[in-house]
Amino acid sequence: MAQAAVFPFIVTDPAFGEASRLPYMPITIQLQGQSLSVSALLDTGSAVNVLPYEVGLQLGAIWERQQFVSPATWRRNRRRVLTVLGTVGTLPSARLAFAWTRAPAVPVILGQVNFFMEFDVCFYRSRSLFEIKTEAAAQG
Amino acid sequence: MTLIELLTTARTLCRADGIRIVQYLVADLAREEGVTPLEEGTAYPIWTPLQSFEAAATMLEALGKQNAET
Repeated sequence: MAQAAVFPFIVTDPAFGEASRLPYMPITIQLQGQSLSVSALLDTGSAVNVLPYEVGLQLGAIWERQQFVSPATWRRNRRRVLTVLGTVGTLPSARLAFAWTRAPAVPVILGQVNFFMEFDVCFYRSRSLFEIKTEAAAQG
Repeated sequence: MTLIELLTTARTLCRADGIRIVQYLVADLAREEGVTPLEEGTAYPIWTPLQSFEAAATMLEALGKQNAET
């Protein structure tokens, strides 16, 4: 049975209407029994998934216990690795690694590592839609 | 010297010295708070997930370890 979920591009700024549509979609993330539904931006240009600090706290994650994302290259390291279980609609869940950041005003970002490694995504911008499939569904 | 006396004295200074006092106080407070003041004409790097391949590699490694444990 094919498993896919379709979402609309969302108007993010009513003042700009169509020009402000972005591929945001709901995703449920789970960590050690805690579950949270958030709106996430699909960003094919992002090398990593990004999770805002407040969202990690709401999941019960402890900043000091997480591994640094890139200890060698950043003087004040403000990102840690946080792995959670991600569920999109009724698709099978996948383990997702996030760069958990203390930077303010950041959306939940789904990037190449590893959201796009787990899910196949087709963008139909002319129709303001995008479709998410799991690897198994895409092959079928 | 009270604040009123200090401000009265400060107002007698020329504009350039007034600005220097402000800059000195801001730099002094920032140093005490551990905040590095921004300098004009200096470029400051901002982290972005764009082309953040080292971070991506670290996260793949972490995922691999977790998958191996389960």
